[in-house]
Amino acid sequence: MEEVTMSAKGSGMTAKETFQTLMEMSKLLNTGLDETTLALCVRLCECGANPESLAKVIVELRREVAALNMDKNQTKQGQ
Amino acid sequence: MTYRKYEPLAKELITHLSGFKEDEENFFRCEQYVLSNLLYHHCLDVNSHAVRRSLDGLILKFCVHGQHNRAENLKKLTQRFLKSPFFKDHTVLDIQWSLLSLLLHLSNNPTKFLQGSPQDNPHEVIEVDLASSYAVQEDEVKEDFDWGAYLKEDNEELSSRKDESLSDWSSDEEDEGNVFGPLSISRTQSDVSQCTLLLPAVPEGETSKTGLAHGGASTVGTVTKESSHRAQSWLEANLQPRFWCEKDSGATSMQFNKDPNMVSKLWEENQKWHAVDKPAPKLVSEWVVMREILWVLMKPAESFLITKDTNGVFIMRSNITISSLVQNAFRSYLSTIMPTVQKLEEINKFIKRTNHEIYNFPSTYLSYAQGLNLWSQKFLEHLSKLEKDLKAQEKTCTLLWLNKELKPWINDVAVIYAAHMEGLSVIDTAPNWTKATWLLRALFEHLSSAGDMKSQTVLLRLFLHSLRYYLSIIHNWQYNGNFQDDKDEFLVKRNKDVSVGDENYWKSAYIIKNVKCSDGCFPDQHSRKTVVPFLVPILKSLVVVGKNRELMASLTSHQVSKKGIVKNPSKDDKGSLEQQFVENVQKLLVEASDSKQEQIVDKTEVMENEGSVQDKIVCEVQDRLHSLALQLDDTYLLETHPSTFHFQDKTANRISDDISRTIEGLCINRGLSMERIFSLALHPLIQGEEHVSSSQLLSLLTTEYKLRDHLQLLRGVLLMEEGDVMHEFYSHLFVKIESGDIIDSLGLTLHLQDCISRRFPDFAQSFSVFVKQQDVGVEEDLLEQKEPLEVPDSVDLETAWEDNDSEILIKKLNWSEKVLDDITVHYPVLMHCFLDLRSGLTRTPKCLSHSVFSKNVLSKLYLFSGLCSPIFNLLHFEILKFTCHFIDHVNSLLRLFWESM
Repeated sequence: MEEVTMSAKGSGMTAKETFQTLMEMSKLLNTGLDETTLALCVRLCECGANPESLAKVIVELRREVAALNMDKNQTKQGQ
Repeated sequence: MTYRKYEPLAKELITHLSGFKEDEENFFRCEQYVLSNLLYHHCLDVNSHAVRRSLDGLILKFCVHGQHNRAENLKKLTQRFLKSPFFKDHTVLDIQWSLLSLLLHLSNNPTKFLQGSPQDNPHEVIEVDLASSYAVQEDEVKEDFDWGAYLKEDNEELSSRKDESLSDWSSDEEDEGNVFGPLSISRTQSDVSQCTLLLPAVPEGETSKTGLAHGGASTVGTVTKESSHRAQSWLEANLQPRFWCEKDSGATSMQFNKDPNMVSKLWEENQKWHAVDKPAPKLVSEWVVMREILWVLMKPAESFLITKDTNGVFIMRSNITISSLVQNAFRSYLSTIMPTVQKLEEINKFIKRTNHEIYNFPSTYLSYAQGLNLWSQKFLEHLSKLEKDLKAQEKTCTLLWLNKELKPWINDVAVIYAAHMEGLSVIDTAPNWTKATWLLRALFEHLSSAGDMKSQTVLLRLFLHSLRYYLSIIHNWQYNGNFQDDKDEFLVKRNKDVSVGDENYWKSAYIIKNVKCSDGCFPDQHSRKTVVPFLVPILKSLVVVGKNRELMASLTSHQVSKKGIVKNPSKDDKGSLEQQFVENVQKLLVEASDSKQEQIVDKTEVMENEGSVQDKIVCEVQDRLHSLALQLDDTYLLETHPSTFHFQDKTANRISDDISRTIEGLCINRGLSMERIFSLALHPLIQGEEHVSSSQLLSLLTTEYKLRDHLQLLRGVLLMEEGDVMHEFYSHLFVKIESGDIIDSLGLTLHLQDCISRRFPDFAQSFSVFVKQQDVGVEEDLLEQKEPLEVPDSVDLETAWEDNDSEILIKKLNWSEKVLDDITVHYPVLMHCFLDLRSGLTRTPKCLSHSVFSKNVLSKLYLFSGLCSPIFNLLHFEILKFTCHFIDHVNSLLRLFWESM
């Protein structure tokens, strides 16, 4: 498991524990976020990004990627 | 600045999520998209309260879905996250809420998602799986009654066993086979056996077998035995014993009697010593007995508690008792209910017969059965309510309580039964009118003689229901002129041999049946008065109105206008006679009672009316539809949409329901004379109708048939008031007689018409003269007769004695009467209408003076004839057949006319 360091002044253990808690909550809520993505989101939020718009972005990116993958699969099957 | 912060992170995010490389066009587009959304969004800032509410809602959702563990986890994690010291001195305000908000926005149906796939953490997952699954079972167990606790214990033991053997999963296979193989089997088998254990008759051998089959599962075997005991005790506590079976009645009943009556037990024990042959009594609980009583009253039939003897009479079974009463006391209590059951059976049989054999009973019987049915339904509703109270067991229900609840209804049954048996005491072969009238009379007499007001109320409702058919006959007869009595059960009968145009119409068109039945219609062969007292005074009025209506209907049948046959307008405005009568009775009862009672009756009416508001609205809509269809006058529309425009039957049903509802809402609150009430309610209606019909008939005759003109003509011509008109005719006739010319009918007719046409040109053609010639031999014999002849009645002796030749005059009169030809004048008018028309009018004074005057006129004519010639003709007028009677009638009619002018 990657250890993601957060740009916070607190102790690493506290940040790590907090991050792990957040990760567990993410799993519980079935967000589909892995640790890397979650860490990036946290950093974006720390930079001032609005969580709602960030969530929309992530959802849209996932959707587009899924659509692209589907097209690729279809073209492969066609071939 | 912000752009620079976002750019590297956005690129990293895009790369991670999509896998695009930085030089790809897609990557560029994604980057633009992400940055534009992050920089130029329209989203609001995070609201911590909204996030908190969302999280709480999510926790609740987990609980609702039974995922309590996840709810707990989420709650704990949220609290831990928010309490983290990491956020205390953070540069970004409310970063924790932002992160939580992000997670909430990205959450995707967390309740459906099963957490803990083996890929993440198999050990943890397994533990969570087990714990959560058993925790779920625990929760489910908690929701159930006893099943859950039993299941929970079993599962806990199994999970504990599993926890112990967790480290052994990858070790010895034999152990696994012994432990987990059979464990898995035992789980299913034990589940099945546990299910079977819960049924009453399950041998314990099976459970022990499942327990002993597995060496290491000894705890499972003990659990199943405990569970079987628990299940049995639960069954015994919650299932009702089959008290009606001999096996169970004695064994389990005692368990319910926690506080048996020791005295009764001692007594019975004592009795047992003395009565060896008698079977031991069955002890049942009071609750069982109460329910049996209610069922028996709902449907009188043989049951666990009662049976029928050889005569078909209900009796109590001998060997049943309750613990709180000795057997004899219990029997004496039940003996008060047996007669009621018997009576109810009779009443129900009658209702059933009338439902199945409609054509064999008079319609009055059917109406009576309907009233009985309504009462019976109320009784059943009350019994159902009592049974619900018994089943709920929320209040103390004893036999005393039941007795108190049933007492008023038992009294009602007794009262109704007495009236019922008397009302149906007529033999089957009696005519329908006897049956109907006797039923009504019996109900009326019982109603009048009822002691308490509740009994009176019940009988009043029954009587009014029974009377409805009679009232419907009267309504059709009085208002529409249509006398319909298909089953011949009304007091009046239409004489079919007499039509409207018959001269005996007024006398014998309608026959009032003998109110005193003496044809052996009763089993004891005694004759009795069968008609209800308050109907007797109005019978004549009914007949008069009926005759008036029928005559008017026949007179106006050829003059049907566009609007239709003349109908009584009061019918359309006020409703049917039934409705008016019942409403009048209701008003009189309300007026006779106190003000408080008025409010109660009004309230019940309001409540009843409120219950039918929706029905009324529906009916009003249907009425409008029907009126619209009538306006369009489209028969096809009516035929193709019968359900939409099928309003007549529904209207009739609605009206009958309203009337029934009104009847059922009546209540007698003080002692009243019902005969007076009914008289006041009905007589004004009939008498008013009599006035109306008489005036209508009179106006019809005067306007359409010119009665006045006819009567004036009769007065002038036949009563010879128009002396100058008839003088010429008589003079011509006398000249002919003296000259000995042949007198023929045609000549006399033409001459008469000529004379009358000068004064009454319109009616002259109606007159005709007929001549009947006498035998020649009679004349010669009479000439030789020397004995004094009898004085004709038409001669006024006082005037005759003024002349000294009275004896000669008398002789001449008699001689002329017998010898001379009969000359009759015919005037074909509605004689029968005129004759008894007086009876259809009110206030008809007798006019004797006019009849005397008329006699004097005739006698003067005779004298005049006698003075003029020794041979004179006595003119007999057709109308003189009715001389005095007719003259009285005509003169009285004329007087009425002129008085009304």
